[in-house]
Amino acid sequence: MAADSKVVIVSATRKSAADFQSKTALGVSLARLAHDARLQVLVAMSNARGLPQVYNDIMDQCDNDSIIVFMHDDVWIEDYYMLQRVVDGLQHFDVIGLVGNRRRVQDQAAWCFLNADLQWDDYGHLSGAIGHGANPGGEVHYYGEAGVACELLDGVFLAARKSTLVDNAVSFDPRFDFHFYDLDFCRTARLRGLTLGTWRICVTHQGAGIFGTPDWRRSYAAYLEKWGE
Amino acid sequence: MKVVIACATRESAGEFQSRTALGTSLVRLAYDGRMEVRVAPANTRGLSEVYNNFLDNMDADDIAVFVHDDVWIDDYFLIQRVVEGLGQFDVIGVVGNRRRIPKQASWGYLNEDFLWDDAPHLSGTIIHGTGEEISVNHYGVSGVACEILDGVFLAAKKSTLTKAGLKFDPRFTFDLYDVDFCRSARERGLKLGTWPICLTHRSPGAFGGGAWRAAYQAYLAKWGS
Repeated sequence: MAADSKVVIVSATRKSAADFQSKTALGVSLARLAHDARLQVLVAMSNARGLPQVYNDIMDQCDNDSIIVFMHDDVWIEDYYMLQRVVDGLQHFDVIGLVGNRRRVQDQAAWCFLNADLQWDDYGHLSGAIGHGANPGGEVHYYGEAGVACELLDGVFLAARKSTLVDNAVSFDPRFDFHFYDLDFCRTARLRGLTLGTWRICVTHQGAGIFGTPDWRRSYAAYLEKWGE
Repeated sequence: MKVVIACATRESAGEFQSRTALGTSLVRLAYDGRMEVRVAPANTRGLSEVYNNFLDNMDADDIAVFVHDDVWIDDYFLIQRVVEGLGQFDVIGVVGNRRRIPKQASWGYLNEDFLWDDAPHLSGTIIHGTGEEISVNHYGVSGVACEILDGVFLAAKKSTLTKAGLKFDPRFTFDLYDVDFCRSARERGLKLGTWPICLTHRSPGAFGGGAWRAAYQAYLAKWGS
């Protein structure tokens, strides 16, 4: 990979282009990365499609030697060295995230939940840290040591080289619109032999995640149907 | 081994925790059991004297992080990054200058007329400002050897400083203490470098006042140039 490969921030937002820049956490905080010439931003504005469809479409537009960071639009980037950290992290793992689980169990319902009852896994299996809150500088939730191999990563932030994904036929499954797309993606990546791991990058996530709703349960059923467990 | 955040503040202990940028942001690092915070509250002494007292009271294997109280720590992995940075350099900072010339007046200013050094000599990135009114100041690539580091954030192993016989010179109360410290460190053969740690400094620094000019003259008298 060339040292000056683009690092493409890919996101989808319900906001207009102007509102994305001025009103979303991601749009506002991207100014912190503007000093890094490797930065490229590709966002699906006024989006109503599922994330996998958007992510796959934008990935198709990226140069083959680019690094892609798939991020939610409600994430404050606090780490103005983020692009370099992504480059560093991808020298250790094929796919990196911020928080994840070092194991995957049968019927697992999220990176941190063991089942449909949303039972948290033991912290001994979890990895990484992330801030949560409406504003930058949110409360930090520490789950465990970062920089370790994982089976599942939280979809709030996923990064990989495009060439790694293309060469291994890993993409996002459009049957999952918002829920379970990350579990499915990670599981597919592991099935293809890719390594996944957490990396130390500082952000504050405004959303806490949405679990247990009827939409979520439908996606869970689709996930179980696809994988058998 | 502990990583000791050492700071002086004019605020009371309670107000340091609730009102200063450093005090409030340190909460985010509390998960890391290696961190210890030591504060000189209601302080009126010079930073050099305070920092030396902190050093005297640390364990031999501690890491000292000297940081101003108006710094918001954006980077909640700061403790790990300091440990990693000190695997590469003896003293680390967040911004600095890869060279030092005669009569240099700060890490960024070449002389007492505040002529800013050329970009290729500078290193590191830091945010200045408050709230949404911020400015990301990118001076150059980080993780490189430097001659002078900005005193807003300096970290070193106590054992390294002790072995080198290096302390802060109390003749410098606030201004030029960092330039003097870095120059003394280089004179003793220590390696200085910037490290990619994210901070927001809520003041731009104060240069050119009467106290600053007196400190600059003391610095020139000590070093000759």
